[in-house]
Amino acid sequence: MTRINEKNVFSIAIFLFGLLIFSATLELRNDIALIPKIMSICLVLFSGWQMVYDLFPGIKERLKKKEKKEQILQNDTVARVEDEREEKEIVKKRYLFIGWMILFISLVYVTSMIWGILISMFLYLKWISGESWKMTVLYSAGVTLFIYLTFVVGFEIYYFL
Amino acid sequence: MGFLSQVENVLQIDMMLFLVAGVLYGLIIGILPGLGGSIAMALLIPLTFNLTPEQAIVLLISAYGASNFGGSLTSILINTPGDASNAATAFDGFPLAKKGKAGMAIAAAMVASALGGLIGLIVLDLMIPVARKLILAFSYPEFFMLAIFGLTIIAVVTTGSLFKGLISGLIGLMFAYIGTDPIMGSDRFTFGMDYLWDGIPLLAVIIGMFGITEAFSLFTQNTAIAHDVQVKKGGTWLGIKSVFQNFWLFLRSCFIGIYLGMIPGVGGTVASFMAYGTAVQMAKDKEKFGKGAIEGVIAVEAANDSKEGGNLLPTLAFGIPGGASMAVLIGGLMIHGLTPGPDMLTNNLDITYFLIAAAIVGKIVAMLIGLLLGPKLVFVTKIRGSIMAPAIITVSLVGAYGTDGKFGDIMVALLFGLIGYYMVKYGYSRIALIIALVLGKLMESSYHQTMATFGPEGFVTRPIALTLVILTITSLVWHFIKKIKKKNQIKGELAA
Amino acid sequence: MRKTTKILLNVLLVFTFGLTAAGCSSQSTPDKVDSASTYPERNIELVVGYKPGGGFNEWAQAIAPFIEKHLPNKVNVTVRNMPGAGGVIATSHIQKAKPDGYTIGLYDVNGLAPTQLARPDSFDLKKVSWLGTVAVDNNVGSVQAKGTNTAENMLKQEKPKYIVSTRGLASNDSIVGAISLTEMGVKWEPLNHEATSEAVLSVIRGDADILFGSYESQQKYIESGDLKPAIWFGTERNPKYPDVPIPSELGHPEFDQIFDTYKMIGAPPGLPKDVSATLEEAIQKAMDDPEFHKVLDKMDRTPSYLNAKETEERVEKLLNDYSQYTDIVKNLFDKGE
Repeated sequence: MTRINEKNVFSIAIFLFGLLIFSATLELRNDIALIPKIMSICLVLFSGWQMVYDLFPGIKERLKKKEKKEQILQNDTVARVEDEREEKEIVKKRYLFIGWMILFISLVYVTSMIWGILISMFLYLKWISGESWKMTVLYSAGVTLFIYLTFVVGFEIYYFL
Repeated sequence: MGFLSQVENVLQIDMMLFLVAGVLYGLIIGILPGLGGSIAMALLIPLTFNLTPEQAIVLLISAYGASNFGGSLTSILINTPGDASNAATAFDGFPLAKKGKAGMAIAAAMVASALGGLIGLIVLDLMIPVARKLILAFSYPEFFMLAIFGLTIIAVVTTGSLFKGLISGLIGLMFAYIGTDPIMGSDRFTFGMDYLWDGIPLLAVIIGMFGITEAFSLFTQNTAIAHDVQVKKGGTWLGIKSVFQNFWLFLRSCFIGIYLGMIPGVGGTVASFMAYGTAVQMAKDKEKFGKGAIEGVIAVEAANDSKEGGNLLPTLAFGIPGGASMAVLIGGLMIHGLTPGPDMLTNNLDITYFLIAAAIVGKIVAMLIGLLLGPKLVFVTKIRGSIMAPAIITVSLVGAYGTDGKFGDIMVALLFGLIGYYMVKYGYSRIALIIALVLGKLMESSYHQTMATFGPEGFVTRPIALTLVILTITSLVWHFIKKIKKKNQIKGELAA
Repeated sequence: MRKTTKILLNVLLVFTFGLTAAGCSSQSTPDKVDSASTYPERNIELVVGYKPGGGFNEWAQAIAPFIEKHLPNKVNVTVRNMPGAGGVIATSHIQKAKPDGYTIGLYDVNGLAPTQLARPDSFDLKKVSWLGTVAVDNNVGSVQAKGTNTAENMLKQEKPKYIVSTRGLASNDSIVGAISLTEMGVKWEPLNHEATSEAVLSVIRGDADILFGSYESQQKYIESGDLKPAIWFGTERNPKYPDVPIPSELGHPEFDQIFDTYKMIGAPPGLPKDVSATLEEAIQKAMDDPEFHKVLDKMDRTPSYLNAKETEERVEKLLNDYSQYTDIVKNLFDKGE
């Protein structure tokens, strides 16, 4: 049985990354490509093996009898049990946090480091963490002021502004 | 030990004022994310224009020496290294903080750094007569073997699945290959992005994989770093003691630091990882590493500071910077009419000894201040996770951005934060990835450089290279024999 | 002693309070002069495409306070290091920046010109608003001091192939070596390094035969007796090294001058006339300032000034000269064999 979950996606991503580098080595001059080619082939093979494992847990069950892969399986089973146990709540929370970080760096991109810190800290404390107004304002202003004073005023790194 | 004659010249009232100022400044720069020793000095150089050469040396060298201390603090307390060379401190320092032993870890780091720095500088002093010969003895085959030796450490430091450890190492190698190729120096694997020309920035990767990953779990668990445990008081003394209890390990790590610091192009980050790797390798109980072994902190910090002595060797002997910070130091010295080079070992030997003396006194002052203030910061490990998380993210992003002001570095930090999170979750090894990232380029370029200059026989005909080959093979074989033995033992016990 | 105490206090201020005297003064000088042209009103950023610790950064750090001194209003000129891709990152950054005079750059035109010819899409040096040249330097090819390599030997191809120590293709050093050796018909192979320091060391060790680069970058190794010059790129021999031949003596007069390395200051394309005039004047005054010469003397550097117009002409000439050798440069960059 194949299930698509975060774990599968992660091992597919590793596999694809290996494949990407490998395909890029094909355009390079032979001597330049030599070592990356060897290593990317290794990665493609190893991560491919791991990916098949993760995608088709059935194989694992069958191989389980062969004690050779004992250790890998052990770790995998532990991880899978954890995976199932992980509540949807936590997954949701995690994506919320990822979303917030993406918002953070977009703010840095659009405005600047200092404004990015101030706004995203504020948003985080008030709406994600649910702090009191006092805490939110004081904490986010405090952190921003500290960064501003040390980096912009102190060290004149004003690409922070 | 020629530097002794200069110590009294450092212990003058005006010199000491500069020294303390330099140390305080270095400590703060070190603690601030993204700013390390080279930036510490670069920012100071304009201020030294009106000073005497001696005052300038004292100010620069003490600031540089102290910046390492600050970097280890953030590694231990919030898993966010201030500089790439402090990254390995986080491997065991942060788990110690989680156990409530941050005070002990900080004290051990401070003492190991200071004494390590001291030993590095004393060895530097002793090596001055043979400095030039020594540096010329190392060439590409030796670099290559060093890199290979370092990569085999992956097998040792990986706890859990070796297979996944290998995959992690290979991923690290792939990232190491992004950038310029070692033969022609033109770009490869950059997929049309100018940003990737210089490769994946190590500091941003480390900040992402440790700092941001940590913020993630703090946020999802919403507990303090050191939850469920009493933050122990009186750790300072335990930390100081632990360095002397592991004195052999400490000494060995110092020599690794000096040795690797001496070679331009290999550099300090490699030194701290190698020291960590050998500490794991030679330990009786490997399992405790990564879970809060004080030995891990001592080894890394000792190597980290003793490498400064090694770094100074090519700087003084040839005027060739042993690392990025040394390049800045050379610039600072040249403004005062001191050109690092062979003259420093003959005509200007007094200045060289003065520099060493200033660095040594600086280390001691930095240690005292560090021991006094460092353990006071332990309170951050008791702050609630949901409050710490955004602060760590902020520190991490500022750290990634602060060095060069490249937006790409922030993206890399975030990306590797995510990768790191999933790696931990699914049993991959972050340490393996970073070791491969650090060494991948060195291995590849020194391979091609050897082939171009010595040909394939270069790998086996040079005595130092050959020694390294044998060392690598023995250590690997030894590791696996031990592992198999242990497995059989467990099996035997189970059968019984 | 008083001076010392004052500096010390300054130093302490920076560290303990995160405030510099300079930072303060820039914050607390709202008394703007009411003049027709108000430029500059805020701090100016001098972008350098390399890390601290190299020649370009050194020059930028040295000249920044003097440009500051000679600007009409009291603002700071701060150096921003933006290393990456052999200066390309910084150059593209300036190219895209607002042409308001608050972003200027110190250009390594010799490294950038060949890059531009090989991959024309990232920036255009012809469009830069040039403000002046601060330094002109000769190139030199150096060999191990105690070794037997000389320019004559190399021309005769006494070894089957010569190993040239380089550091990245985009760097001027590699291009100089590539063009001159190839045109002289010498068989050679690059031995690439990440940094200049490694490239120098490999020649001192004797692993590589020769290393090309600006005299400034090799001076200290030559003076310390670790390297010796084998070929001097100039119109006449350097009196310091009377035995070292120049290209015309080796039958290639066309290389006498084209490899001179420049440190030029420029601004984004389309800089308003009044702003560029202000900046040009400040740079010129800085270059004439005896105080600045004192600083350079300490650093063992010699200034050579060219004004904005001359700078522009030199850039044009440089691009033309290099374009004659586009094939060689392209070959270097090309991936397929």
